[in-house]
Amino acid sequence: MSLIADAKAPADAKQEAQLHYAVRPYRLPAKIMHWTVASLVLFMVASGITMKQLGNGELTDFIFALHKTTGALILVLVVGRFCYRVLFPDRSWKTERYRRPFIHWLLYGLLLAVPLLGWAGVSDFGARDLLFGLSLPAIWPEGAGWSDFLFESHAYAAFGMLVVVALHIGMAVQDHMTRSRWDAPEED
Amino acid sequence: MFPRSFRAQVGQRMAIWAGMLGFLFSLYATVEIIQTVRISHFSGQIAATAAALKAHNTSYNAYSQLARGLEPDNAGQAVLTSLAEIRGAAKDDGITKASADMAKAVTALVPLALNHPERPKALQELVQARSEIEKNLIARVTASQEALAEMISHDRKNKILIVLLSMFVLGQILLLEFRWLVKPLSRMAVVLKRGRKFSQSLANEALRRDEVGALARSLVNHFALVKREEELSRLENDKLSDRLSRQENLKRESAAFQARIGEIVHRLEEHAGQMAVASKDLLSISSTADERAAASAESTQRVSEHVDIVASSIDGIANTMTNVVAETERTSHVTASARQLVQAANEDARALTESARTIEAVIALIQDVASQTNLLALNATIEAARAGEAGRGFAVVASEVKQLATKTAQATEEIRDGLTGITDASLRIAERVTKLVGSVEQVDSGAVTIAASIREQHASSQAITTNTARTAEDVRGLADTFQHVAGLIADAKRAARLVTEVSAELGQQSRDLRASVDRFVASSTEVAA
Repeated sequence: MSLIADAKAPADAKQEAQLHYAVRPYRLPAKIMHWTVASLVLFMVASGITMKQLGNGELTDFIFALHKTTGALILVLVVGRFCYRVLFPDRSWKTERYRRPFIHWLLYGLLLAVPLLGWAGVSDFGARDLLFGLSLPAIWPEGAGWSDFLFESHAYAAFGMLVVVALHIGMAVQDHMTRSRWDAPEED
Repeated sequence: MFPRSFRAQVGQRMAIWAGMLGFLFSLYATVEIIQTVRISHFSGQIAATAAALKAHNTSYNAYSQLARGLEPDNAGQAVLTSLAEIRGAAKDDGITKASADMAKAVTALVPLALNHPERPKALQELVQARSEIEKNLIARVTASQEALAEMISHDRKNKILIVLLSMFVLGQILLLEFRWLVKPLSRMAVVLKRGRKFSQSLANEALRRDEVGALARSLVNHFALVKREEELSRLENDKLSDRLSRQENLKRESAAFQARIGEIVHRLEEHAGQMAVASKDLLSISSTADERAAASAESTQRVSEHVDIVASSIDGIANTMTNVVAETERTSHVTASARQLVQAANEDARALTESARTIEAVIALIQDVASQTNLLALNATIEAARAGEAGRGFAVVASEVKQLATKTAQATEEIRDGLTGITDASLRIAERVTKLVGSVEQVDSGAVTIAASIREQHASSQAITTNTARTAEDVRGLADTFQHVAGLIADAKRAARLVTEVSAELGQQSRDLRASVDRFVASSTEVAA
């Protein structure tokens, strides 16, 4: 076993780290998309809560527009990330059997569902305008009276997603700490 | 997804947790700040509305006086003042408009007398304007109330959700850190405390890249070292026990060797003792044999001497007889005529013949004895050949030989007697011959016969002489044999003495050997110990 070999020949710490603890080889586009979406989601949470807390006003309208625009961007990025993942799957996901990243799929689902709920809400509410003179297409009949329910669902789903994000962070750290030996050379 | 420098160490994990909780806390703080700002805004709004309402209410007396027409100037002035106050407090379009309408109504109503026909219409306008103001104020209060309620509801929802999320994150942090930090550390403490060598959990933790992983690796390292040391010491123990068992074996073998050597030495000593006893016996036997042999040698010497004497005397007799024969022949030759004397001489010759016969018997006896002696000599040689137990046999032979010697002596005595008779007769013959010188012729024929018989006699005496000489030789040979036997016995004696010495030396040497073996075994056991 590698442990005994390690014990017998304590290698250079740096070399050991390179040998055994290589970072999981996500590709650069995946990394960029991941961290962009992550920061945008944080901004969305902050902006959503602030917007709601501020109530009606000009600032609220601006933040609302920003929120909607960012939401659209997130939707695009998540769809892109999802397609990228499906089209260019990592080699390790096929070979490594111990891990089923169901939380990733849950996250993808929520990252699609939450913006869609918001979009439906604004469609019903009739405020599909974005920044820079853009506008969202309607995906829900305007004035159908479901806007409050849709917004509430949007908010609760967002908080649920935050719970999943917290779990995701914990599992990622755990994974990185204990199992991220993907690049380790074949031993024994 | 993590940067290369991120190793999930405790500090880095704490930074992540701090970031998460900090984000939630800043959200909560933002919510709280917005809430505070908005509440202060609402409270200002409500205070203004309340001030307007108060002004509106305080103007009621003036308003009623004005409506009843009592001191219309003063009342109108008071109402206008209150209207200005309301406008100042509640900056609202509806209220501004309503207060302006009311101010117009007041100014229209003040100059009119009680019975003036325009008065009811102006009064109605005044009442309408006041109710409008009241409605607006109430609407304003209601709007404030509703906004406040909505704000509070949103605020509560936001705060509850943020707090719930924070609690979840906090719980997750506690749970994960308990799993990642507390549990492995306590497990390691247990492993260290109980001295368990290896566990799967420890192996898993050693794969971790944070401080706990380093700790587990060093622990595994330590256990591997301990295991190797234990193996080494076990090997040493094995070697030691092997050496001990070998020493034990060596001791056992040396003890067995000692016992065997002791047994051999004991047997050697016994043999040496037996040998010493035997050699002593042999010595004593050989000394007696020596004595006896010496005695027999002496007696045979004596016998041989006697035989020699006999032989020489017989020789002498023979010589004498040849002389006699010569004399008689000469006499026969010379005195052929002395036939008369021959007659007498014939008588003498007869006597002589008789004597000769006795001599013959004696000679036969001697011959007998000689043959017996011969036989005895043969026996003696046979007995001598049997060496050891010869003493007694030799004694017997010696006595026999002695008897023979005496018999021989007696026979020679008799011979001597016979011979004296013969010499007497021959003397008488000689006297008669000298008397019968003349008649030698007569004697002649008798002399011839005598001569013949004497010749025969001479031959027999010759035979006797040779026999005696042979007997003497035999006896001498016997003596030589005795000498030889005595020499052999002396040799045997020397050998026996040598054997005694050797056996004594052997006993000494075996004792020395035992002592040296004891010493060797003692030293070897010391070495083994």
